[in-house]
Formats: sequence, structure tokens, C-alpha cells
Amino acid sequence: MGVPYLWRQVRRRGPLSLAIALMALVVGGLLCTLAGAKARTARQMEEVYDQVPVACAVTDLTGTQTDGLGLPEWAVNLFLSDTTTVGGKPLERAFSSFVTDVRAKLSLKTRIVCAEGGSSGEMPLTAVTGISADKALWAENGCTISWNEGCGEDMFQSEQPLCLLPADAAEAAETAEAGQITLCVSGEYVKPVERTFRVAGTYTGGSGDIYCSWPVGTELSLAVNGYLLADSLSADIRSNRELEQFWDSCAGLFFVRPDLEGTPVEWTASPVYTYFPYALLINDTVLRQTIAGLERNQMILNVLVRAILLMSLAGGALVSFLLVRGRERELALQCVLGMPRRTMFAGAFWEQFLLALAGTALAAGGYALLAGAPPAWRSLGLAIAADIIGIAAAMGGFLTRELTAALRGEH
Amino acid sequence: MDLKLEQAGYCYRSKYQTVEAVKDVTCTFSPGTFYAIMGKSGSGKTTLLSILAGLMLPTSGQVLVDGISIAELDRPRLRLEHISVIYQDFNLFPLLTVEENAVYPLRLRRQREADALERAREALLSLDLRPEQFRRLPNTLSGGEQQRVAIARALVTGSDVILADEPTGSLDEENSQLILDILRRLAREQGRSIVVVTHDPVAAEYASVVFRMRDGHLLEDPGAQEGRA
Ligand SMILES: Nc1ncnc2c1ncn2[C@@H]1O[C@H](COP(=O)(O)OP(=O)(O)OP(=O)(O)O)[C@@H](O)[C@H]1O
Ligand SMILES: [Mg+2]
Repeated sequence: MGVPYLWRQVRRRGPLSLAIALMALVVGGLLCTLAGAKARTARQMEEVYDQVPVACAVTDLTGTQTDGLGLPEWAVNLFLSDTTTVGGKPLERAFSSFVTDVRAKLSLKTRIVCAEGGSSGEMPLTAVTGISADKALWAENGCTISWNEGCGEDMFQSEQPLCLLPADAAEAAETAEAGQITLCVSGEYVKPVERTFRVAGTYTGGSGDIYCSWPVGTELSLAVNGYLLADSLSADIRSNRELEQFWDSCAGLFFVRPDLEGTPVEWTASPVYTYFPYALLINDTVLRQTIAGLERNQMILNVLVRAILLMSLAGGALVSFLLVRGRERELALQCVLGMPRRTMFAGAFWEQFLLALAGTALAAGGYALLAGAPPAWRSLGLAIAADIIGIAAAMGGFLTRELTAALRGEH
Repeated sequence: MDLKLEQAGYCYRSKYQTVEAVKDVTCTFSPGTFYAIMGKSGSGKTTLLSILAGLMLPTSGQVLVDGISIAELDRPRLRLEHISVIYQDFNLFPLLTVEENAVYPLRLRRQREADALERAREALLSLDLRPEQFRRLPNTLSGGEQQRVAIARALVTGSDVILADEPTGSLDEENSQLILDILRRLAREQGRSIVVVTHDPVAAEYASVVFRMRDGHLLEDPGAQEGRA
């Protein structure tokens, strides 16, 4: 009987129609709010991946010792060169491509050569890739560095012979040519090497070691020892999203994960483990916990969205069903008056379908109003499908009943 | 148009019971005749009427329309063009106005709107309904007025057969007589067959043939006809 009749029905059942419309609005709004929360959680997750720092460090097998490890050259190369074969093992991607801000440290023994020909007692010469590589140099550990003019932390990357002296040693050097110091570096097997350094700065507090740059340190180590041994190696993970891949395709081929037992394992798959059993400690606890929390939130939101969606689908189907059922007498009367069944069904279906569309549009409107975003089309499609099912069920029920019973309003 | 029942029966079947509401009825309803069917409540009158209207198919025997079994006919079309039914209770669309209800079958037949409305109003007036009631909804009318609207709707189509279940049940004497007069005229002057189910002996007096229903059986009541003749 068309849209005008439909409108009369809506008006006739004013409070009911209003309630249904409000419900649709509320459900739409609710779904929107939840979808917003979901999107926010996803954004937070991205931020966490981007911003939570994750560091990795080579350790002993128990994961407790990170310094004085005597790490061989292959380990240093993993972190500092872009080599893609290690111990004859080809890598898909260089280890160093997964990490950034690599921190390395090695130690040599040295004496300060005095102008008069004598020398000081033996003291350590420490090469680092930067201040971050040695805790003893950190301001929060009580170390104060005063740089000479034109010098700074970049000395640790330099290939020039520059050094950072403890203040008291610097006094000794004053006696020598201004701003210069000659060191005699000795090793295990080869004869000692003398080298003149320019003083880049002095420090108070800290370890009392003499510091030089990582490139100069490695060069001296090779000269006096014939090999390279690093005390410590650590770095930051470049992209937290690649953590799994980093371990599976790269780090896991050479290192084990630390465990407190620290039992060495038979591991022939690694080209180096048997001779150099080291662990790689990846400090991702904060990241994992934060992500796990967010994932839990997301899961709860997902469940909620699904539950509400399901409930509203069921509700929509039920409302459609009841609306059609409430019109059974009219439909029966149409048949009695000679309307062909097909026309009657098609008409009733369209009217009811229009109502369902209107309800769904309201829900979408509620959603869009709150979200300022396009509605979730898939859910709306589902809602309409559910309504159609409700309509079809009611009409199927009508078909199975005698016309006269339907006319009397019996169910 | 001839409407003929041949050993027609109807049995309501449900899970719990079967009720044989109409049993082995054979009779003919011919044009130009006013029939009344009387009988106790529950004797099967409404069921019989529903079978005649093609709303239900007989579970045994058959209904013949001009010799053709009703089962083979397009029954909605048959009702649209030839048979008007007035039921006991639910007759009007509650959300259509009085005149919209009366014009409904004409709209179904796709008659010109202006003509159709004209005819519907005439029919309503002939049944003593007032023009100011035409635009009201049925639930603002009394039961008798509603019944008259339903009868007006049956009149406008000019169908060959009018089947009415207690059309005067809720009317006062004056209105009953008005309606019965109209129905009788339709039979006599326009050659329609009128079948009226009624409890009212006065109403039965308008009929030229009176049937009695008892326990699903249809019996002719010769006494009633003699009385009238
Ligand atoms: N849908 C149904 N299911 C089962 N039994 C039914 C159904 N409709 C009617 N009956 C039974 O069929 C019998 C005849 O019913 P029907 O409505 O034809 O009687 P009626 O003569 O019209 O009565 P009334 O004068 O009270 O209207 C009754 O016994 C009734 O209980
Ligand atoms: Mg009855």
C-alpha cells in the first residue's frame, strides 16, 4: 500500500517507532564509540612500536655479564660492518641493518711516555664508539668531561689519534709538548707500539682510563695483539616491528637467548657458538608488556563490537519479524480482497525493507554523527541482511497458516 | 455465476485434534438468489463460507465455479473480480480512512481514481454513512458503522457473488433492514447471488432459500421458505 501507508503505520505506533529509532541511534553511536576506541588503541600500538626503545647486548650465557667479555672480531663485525657472511654462513640481511647506535668497547694496556725518557705505570687505554658505550663516562655516574677547543664526542668516531685523559694524567702530560701525549701501547705477543695523541679533553670522576676512538683502538689492538677482542657490544633495535625477523633470520643463528642456568648447549647449526658461546639479551620486556596490554584491550573491544553487532543484528531481525507479524491481519485482508499473493508479498516486503533501511540509516547516521567518519558498510550490510531474514521468517510463517486463521489474528 | 459444492468437506487438522467442520455438503448457489445460512455457533458456517470464497480448499469433494474446480482457478483473481467476502470481525484496514477502505478493491482493479472514489462514496451514502465520516479511520466508527463500510466495499465492485458472515450481527433493526433490503435488491435486480450467514430469523426472512447447518451438514429448510411464500 506504499510509502504513505507505511508512514501512517510509523505514526500510529509513534512511541514504538521512536523507541526503535532511538535504539538504532544508540547502537550506531555505541558501535562508533567502540570503533573509535579500537582505532585509538591501534594508533597507540604504533606509537609504542615507534617510541619504546629496545636495546640488545651481547652477554654471557646467563645474561648477567655485559662487560669484559672478550668478544671476537666476528661479533664486532656483526654489529659494526655490513657483512652478510659470518663463519661461512650467508645472511639474508646484514645484522647491522637491524640495529642502530651501536656501542662497543675494547681495552688495551698502555704507559704514558714522559719527555725525559721514563714512563708512567701501566694503565688501561679504552677505545669506545661513543660516551654511551662506557658507563664510567656518563655524567649521571659522576663523570665530568671538559673538552678542549674544537673537540667533542665525535672524537670517538675519528681515525685521528685523539684521546680523552683523566685530569690527573693530564697534569703529567702538561710537562710534554702542549696538548700532546705519547703513549706506549703493549699487547700480548707483538712488541709495543708508541703513538702520539692529541688531547681532546680531560675528565674528572669516572674510571681513570685513557680513552681513544674506536677506529684507532681497533687498529692498535691489531698492531699489538694481532687480533681484536671487544669488552662489550650493544646496540638499539632499529625497528621494533622487525624484532621477530631479527631473531629468526639473523641474531638467532649466532647467539642463544640468555637463561639463568647458563648451560651451554650442543649447537652445530651456529657457525660460531661451539667456540664462542654468547647470549644476546634483547631488552624488550617493556615493549612486550605494553603491547600485550594494548592487544588485550583490542581483543576486549573486538569482542564487545562483535557482541553488540550480533545483538543488534538479532534485534533488527526480531523487530522486522514482529513488525511483519503485527501486520498479518492486514496482509490476510489484502488476500481476501483479491490481491494476488505475489503482489501482497512484494508490497509488504518492500515496505518492511524500507523500514529496515530507515532503521539502518539511523544507526549509520548515529555512527557518522559521532565519528564524523563514513559508516562501517559491512556491518550495515549485515544489519540489512538480518532484517531481511526477519521479514522472510515472518512471511514464511504467514504462508504456512490458513488465511482465515491469519485474518482472525491467530498465531 | 454458478457456485456449486460437490460433497465438499473441510477438516481442521492440528497436532492435537482434527475437527470436521464441514461434512459432505452438496448444493448450488445460483445467480439472482438470496441465500441465508443459519445454524448454531460452531456448526461450520464460517468454514463453509471460506471454502466458497476460495480462501481454503475443501479437504474432500470440490467447489465448482461455473463447472470448473476452484482449485484450478486463480483464486485471488476470482475474489477480485467475482466474489466479495464480508467477514465476521476484521474487515477494514485500520490505517486507511473509511473511503480509502471502500475504494480499495477498485484501486486493486486499477480503475480510474476519480470514478472509483465517486462510486465508493455513493455506496457509503447508500448505507447511511455520513460524508464527514469518510475521512475518518475505522476505529473512530461504531461497530455497526464499520460493518456498513465493509458492506459498501462489497457493493462497489459489482461482483457476481457476495458472501457475508453475520453482516447484521452488530446492527440495529433499522440498519439491518436497510442492508438486507439492499442485498435483496442486488439479488433481484442485478442477478447477483447473495449468501448471508445469520443468527437472526428476521434476516432469514429476506432470503429466498434458507439453509441450516448442523454439525457440519448443510440442510435445506423448507419450512422457512414456505413461511415466506
Ligand atoms: N482454525 C481452526 N482450527 C481448528 N478448528 C477450527 C478452526 N476454525 C474453526 N474450527 C472449528 O470448526 C468448527 C466450525 O467453526 P466455524 O467457525 O465454521 O463455526 P461457525 O458456524 O462460523 O460458528 P459461529 O456462529 O460461532 O461463528 C468449530 O467447531 C470450530 O471450533
Ligand atoms: Mg462464524
